[in-house]
Amino acid sequence: MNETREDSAYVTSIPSFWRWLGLLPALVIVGALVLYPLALAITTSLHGQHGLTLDRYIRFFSNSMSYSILLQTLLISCLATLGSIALSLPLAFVVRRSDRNRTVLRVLTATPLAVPVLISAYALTLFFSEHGLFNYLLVGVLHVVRQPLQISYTRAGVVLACVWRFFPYTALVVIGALEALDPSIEEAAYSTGARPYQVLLRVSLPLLTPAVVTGSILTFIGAFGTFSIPLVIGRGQDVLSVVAYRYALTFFDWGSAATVVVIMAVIQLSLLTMYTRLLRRS
Amino acid sequence: MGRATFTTVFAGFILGPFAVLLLWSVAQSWFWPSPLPTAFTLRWYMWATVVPGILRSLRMSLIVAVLATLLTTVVALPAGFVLSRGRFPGRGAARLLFSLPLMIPYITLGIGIANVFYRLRLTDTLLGVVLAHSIATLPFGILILTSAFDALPLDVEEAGLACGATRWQTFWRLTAPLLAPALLAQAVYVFTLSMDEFTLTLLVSGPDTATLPVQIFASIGEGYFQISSALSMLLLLPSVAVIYFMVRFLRTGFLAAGGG
Repeated sequence: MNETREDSAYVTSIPSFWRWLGLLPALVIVGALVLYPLALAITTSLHGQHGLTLDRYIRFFSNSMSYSILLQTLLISCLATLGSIALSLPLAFVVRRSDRNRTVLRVLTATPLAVPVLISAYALTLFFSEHGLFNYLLVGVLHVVRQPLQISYTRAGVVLACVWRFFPYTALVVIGALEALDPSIEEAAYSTGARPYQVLLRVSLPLLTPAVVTGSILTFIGAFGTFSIPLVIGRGQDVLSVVAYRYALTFFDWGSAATVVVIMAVIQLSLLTMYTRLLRRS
Repeated sequence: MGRATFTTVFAGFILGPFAVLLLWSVAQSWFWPSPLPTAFTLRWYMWATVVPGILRSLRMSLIVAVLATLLTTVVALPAGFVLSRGRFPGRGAARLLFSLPLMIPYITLGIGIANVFYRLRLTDTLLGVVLAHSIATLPFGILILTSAFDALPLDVEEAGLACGATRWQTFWRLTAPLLAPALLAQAVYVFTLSMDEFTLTLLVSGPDTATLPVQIFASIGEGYFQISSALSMLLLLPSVAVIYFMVRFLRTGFLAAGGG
């Protein structure tokens, strides 16, 4: 943002002393409250009986239970991401074609981002509960099923809740990309006699793929790292974040908790690096 | 599926959970398979003003939010100024450093800080909770204020300095008033962030320092549908207020200068 302006050296030169003074409070806070705890967590996780060791990490990946929770967390995140894509694509096309409902749809899309996660987690738990509104619609109104479905307090519930909370990251990117698409490309495709579904499959969707991928990474990261959602709507053993919490506050096993959260941080940072690289390319 | 059907189903998906929350918050009794509560009452909201535990958590949330907002603003303002106006080799690294908390899962930050606080006996203290909230709010405060400074034209400061005013004077008399709307927006946003904060708080708070979200979580665990829903509706108010203010400010162009 600054690079496109003519920078007046008169204004922008701040003497070194004031520069440091201005940044110091922020540096102290980030250093003491973020960097130091992170370093401590890393060393705690590497702490063994005889000094530094990768023991905990080896045990984590070889222990079938913790390994399966890692896979489960990844699976839930994948499903939530796929669900978000399945919702975002039709949503983007509907938004593009809508006139009056366009703002409504955009506000609805942004709503999950504006609400505290704990509250939405609880609202979703009630909504999807055995005697909740969703089951009422399925059983009582649409008569699609005869018995209420168990969604809350299952893995499916966690996935659905993650879709609800994190699809906006995908949807907003895809909606923007579709709006930015040059309509003449699709028009050219139509003019060759192609049917709408062919234009969709061969032209529109491939053009949207970069946006879908970029947005999905953000959704995946959100679903992977979320804590309140699986805590409230899950069964307590579903995902890494809740497991780490239990290690720390129920068993006071800070070593195991630190191991889990360091693994989570490494995974998330890797995904973010992938995301930034993809952004730079497009 | 027509566009209208899709829009309706989509709206139902997004808003349905809040409709249920609202209904539970005013439900005297509600049994399956009735779509609506069989009897209504406002007593759960009244409980919020009467039950001491709830009042305490509400007060704690407000106190923590005010303190966290003050701390964040006081720290982010000079940092934003330097990051925006200054030209020095570490600038990009500093920006990255300050947005680090946004790149790491909150549970990681939470376990990290909880570990430290347990050793320093800062758990279940007001100071501890405020510091924990600052981890979450400071990155946003710095981001908002840095871009607010970025959006301020340099001509004003240039003119001030050319007229012989000191940097201090130009800042207080010229820059700060222009910054006011963005500063307000930043404060409101950070305040809401603190009121909503749950993950970090759960890890560092205790019985004496339970904030409203922590209290809500406790009552969810006890299975009290109605009171949990009523308290949740209360917690939604700041978020809704923020959206309202943001939309209003955006419309009148206030934020155009702040860039927030």
